[in-house]
Amino acid sequence: MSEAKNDELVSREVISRIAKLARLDLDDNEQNTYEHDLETILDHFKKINVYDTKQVEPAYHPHDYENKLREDDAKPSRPPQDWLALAKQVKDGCYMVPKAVE
Amino acid sequence: MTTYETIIGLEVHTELQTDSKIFCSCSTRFGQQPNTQCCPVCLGLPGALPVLNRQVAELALRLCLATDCSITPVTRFDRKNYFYPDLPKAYQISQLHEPIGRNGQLCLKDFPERVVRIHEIHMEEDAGKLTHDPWSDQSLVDYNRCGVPLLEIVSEPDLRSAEEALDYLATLRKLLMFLGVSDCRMEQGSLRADVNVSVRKTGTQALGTRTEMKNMNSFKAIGRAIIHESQRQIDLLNEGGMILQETRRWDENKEMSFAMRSKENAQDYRYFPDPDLPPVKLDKAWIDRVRQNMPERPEQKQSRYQHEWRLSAYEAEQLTDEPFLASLLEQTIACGANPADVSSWILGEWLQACRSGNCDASDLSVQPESLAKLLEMIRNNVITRTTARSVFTYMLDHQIDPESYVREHGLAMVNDLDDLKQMVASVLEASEQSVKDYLAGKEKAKTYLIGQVMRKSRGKANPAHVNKLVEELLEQHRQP
Amino acid sequence: MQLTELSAWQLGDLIRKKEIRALDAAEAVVAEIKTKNEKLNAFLSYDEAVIRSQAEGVQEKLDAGQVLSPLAGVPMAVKDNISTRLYPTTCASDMLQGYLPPYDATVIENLQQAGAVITGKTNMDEFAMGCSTETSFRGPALNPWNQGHTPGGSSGGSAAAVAAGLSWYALGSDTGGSIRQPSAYCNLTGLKPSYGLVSRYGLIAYASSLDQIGPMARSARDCAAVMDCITSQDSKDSTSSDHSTAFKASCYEATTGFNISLKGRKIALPEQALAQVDPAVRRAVSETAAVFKDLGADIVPFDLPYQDASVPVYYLIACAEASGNLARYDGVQYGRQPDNGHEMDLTAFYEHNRSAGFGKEVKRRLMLGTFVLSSGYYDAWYLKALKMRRMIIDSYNEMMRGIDAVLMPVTPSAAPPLYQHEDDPLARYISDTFTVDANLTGRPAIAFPCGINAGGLPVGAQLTGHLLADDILLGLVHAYQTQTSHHEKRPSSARKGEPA
Repeated sequence: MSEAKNDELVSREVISRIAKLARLDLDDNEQNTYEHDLETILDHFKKINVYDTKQVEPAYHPHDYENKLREDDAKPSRPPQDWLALAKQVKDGCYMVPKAVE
Repeated sequence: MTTYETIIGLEVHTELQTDSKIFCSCSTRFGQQPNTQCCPVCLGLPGALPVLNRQVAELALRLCLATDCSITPVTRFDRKNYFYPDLPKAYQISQLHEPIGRNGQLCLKDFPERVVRIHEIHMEEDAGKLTHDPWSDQSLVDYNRCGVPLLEIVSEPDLRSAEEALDYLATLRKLLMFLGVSDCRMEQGSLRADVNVSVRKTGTQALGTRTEMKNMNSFKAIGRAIIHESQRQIDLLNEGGMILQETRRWDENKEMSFAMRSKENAQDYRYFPDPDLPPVKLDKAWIDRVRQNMPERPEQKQSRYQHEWRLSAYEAEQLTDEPFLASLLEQTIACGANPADVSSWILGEWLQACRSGNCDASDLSVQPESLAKLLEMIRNNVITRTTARSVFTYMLDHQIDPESYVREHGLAMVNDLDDLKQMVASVLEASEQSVKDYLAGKEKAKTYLIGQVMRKSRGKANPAHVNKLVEELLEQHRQP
Repeated sequence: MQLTELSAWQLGDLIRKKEIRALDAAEAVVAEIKTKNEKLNAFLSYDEAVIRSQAEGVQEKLDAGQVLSPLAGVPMAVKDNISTRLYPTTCASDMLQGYLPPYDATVIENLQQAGAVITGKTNMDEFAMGCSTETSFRGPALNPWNQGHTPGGSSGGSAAAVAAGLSWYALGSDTGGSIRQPSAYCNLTGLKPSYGLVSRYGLIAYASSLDQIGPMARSARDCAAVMDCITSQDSKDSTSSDHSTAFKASCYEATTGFNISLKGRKIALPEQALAQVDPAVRRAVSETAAVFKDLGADIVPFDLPYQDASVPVYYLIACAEASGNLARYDGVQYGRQPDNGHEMDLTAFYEHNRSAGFGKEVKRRLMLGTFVLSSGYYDAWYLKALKMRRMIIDSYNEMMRGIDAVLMPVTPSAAPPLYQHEDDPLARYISDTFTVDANLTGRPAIAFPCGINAGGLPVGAQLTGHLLADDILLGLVHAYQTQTSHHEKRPSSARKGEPA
């Protein structure tokens, strides 16, 4: 936990970095609230560390199953209007978004 | 002065030759109207779920086996999370933890001592396409390409020059095409390469800081970008500067690269296993089946052509330059034509026709059966090669049976000695000067006269007979 | 005869026998919704004309002799996170206001095939994140048993609608108890099916490896009939089970032909769980065990494995998956989109849309989920939780050998007053302690009424069973319901025609 001081689990810096990653624009008040909430929640959750999981395989799914595949059959698509009608900003059959700069 | 060594690794993305997308049944066809090949799954609409296309795993396996990768027995998909308008779910389904293949290798063609290690091969989905709309200064998004299956082939930093990197790409491209994995059309984006470049002082072992170069859309651009970037780094180091680990965008027009600002630098992709997709188990039976149905690789074909069909090394290499030529050769021979005849015709007339028509070899619509018939008529002295050429030209635009065409248009070779003698006589009569030249010792005049006879016969005269008759009649002119 | 007093299959029976017409049932329920919904806030959307035209369509098919299903013509309600072309699907979030899905969820296609009349979409916690419907953008639904109390959540609108007689049954979704807890709070029978038995295609994901759609109704028998309609092996959902056809057959058996004697059945009762709950709940669950014993079942002791880890593991996994699943809401394609998007740069556009569109609890869980996946924290939190999940799954597999089901409370208490733990997220999370294991292990679990407390609020019990043995659970509860009448009790507000 590189960015947290002492026994603190989440710092204000972490909160602000996480908010950025999640594309959430949080004001000071919200940042305080979530810093406090995450700290409280994780402090309670850290009790799972009493269990030794070194030899344990992680479970990605509730049960084991595999190879759900479909055949390579292309089907005709529905008219684009079916989706474009949901969007506010459309031009020339495309969705319009703020300029994406690289 | 310090000398430096350039260290190059490549990340190649190739679109797979499937009919449908990786996780839904939308078509993968290129060049359609925007957003016409979309559905709730590839648009990432709320509630839609991915289902893996079997053929994607199949083609990925093919490439893994062909590059000697070890196959991951249970392969999984992960989500790579980032926000960008070409990514409608705000995550790309890719493979980080358990890619389908690891630890493979590829041998280069012109640098036989260089075996490039392949770090991994993984499956993933392509993103949509963004274009800039100058009128509104906004970006326009077309999601047709979203969900087109991709393989990413990541090499180890084993390449040492632009030439080696291009050799690697050409070898890989050829392999992908012959395996039927990808059509590798760079102009359509179905083969793309990002290049990692670093430099180090010659003789040292530790790798320098690398930069990643993006946005090169031709082999030429890749070569130039490598040379440019390695020089940039060397200059920087010589000036006492430091290389920053960053992603740089190649600008082909300016022949310069620029550090990218937003999406790639210092990202935290928060990869995690995609809970919507169960793992894919690649058992022995499946792997064996793929191995058994593995298409012949270009170098295998090349050696077979030389040994089985006695083609020259040069011919064999040319004919395995792209899958279409190889398959045309094989199919035409299968129709009964003589291998040497087919090879010479493909590398001669066929490619010439492409050059004049400014098209790809596969764009010519002549069928192997027709080509075989045409070549057999030459071999059996039914028509001359000259006639065959004009019939071939006609065949490019018309669906015809060459045999009936030759019959109906009276194009068969003229073998009748009396007719030919008459023809030669009349040519000699009309070409007094050439006859004199010949008799004065100018051998070339004879070639001219033969050409005149052939022309008079509209290419149909049996060239061997014509040759003999011209000589005979010229000799007769010597005695007054 | 009051139509709204009947159970779903009884009403279906009358419609099939042409004793009443589908339209009569539709009119009855429209009248109830119009009188009571304004107060209860159970439905986020419904449309009288759409309801009537569906009823007429079903009636035409029935009149033409088509065999649809035992529930053909029975009006029902759908949680607002299940995609429908008929009604907007908003997950009770500002983010999806006005979003009319261009496709139907597989369960909706199945229901329509079965002749269901979909009355509307029910209130819920925003994106199913909550246990009270208090996080709904449209305000909470109220508990028909006591309007000062929560109906539970996240499928609280579905629960309130069925309990108040606004619907004969409803679909909910259950990620960590969201079908079972509101069922318990509103005196309903609600099944969280085995993971994979019901298609998730079209269910707007909260946490993909935990989410499951299921029925909420007035009896196990009604739940079985609904399961028969919605279960299918779906080629559009890679996590869908191949078991569905076999299941459908045994589902009917379970609640009709099931041997009422439970001789030979083993039901486990974890005493440690009972020690943690409020006395009324403890008493009701103990009495339930006694009824099962009277029916011939063996009651055996049981230790819930890693009980203190369940809630942390659940929230770590659910929030991580949610942070990915909810990343797509960015204001580009659908739902809430700004008018002045072109004035912003791309990052500001995303941040503006997401900050304005999501409520407080959703943001909290997205923050938590993003945190546990981010660089430097993944192994310590997310991976640790996945490993604990494996340990919990393995322990259940081990400990449930020879046992048919585990009997437990659903919640530590009956429905709390509204906004009880508004500023204490941890307290709310901890109250999920008895429900999350079924989601972590993929096992089926059913909540059913087992008494009314001194305050007049219902108390529920829960049975957790074996993977793909949902029919056994339905059979056990059906047997229980043939001996008891808890499930028949209705709130006084459910009387026909009375404003709620």
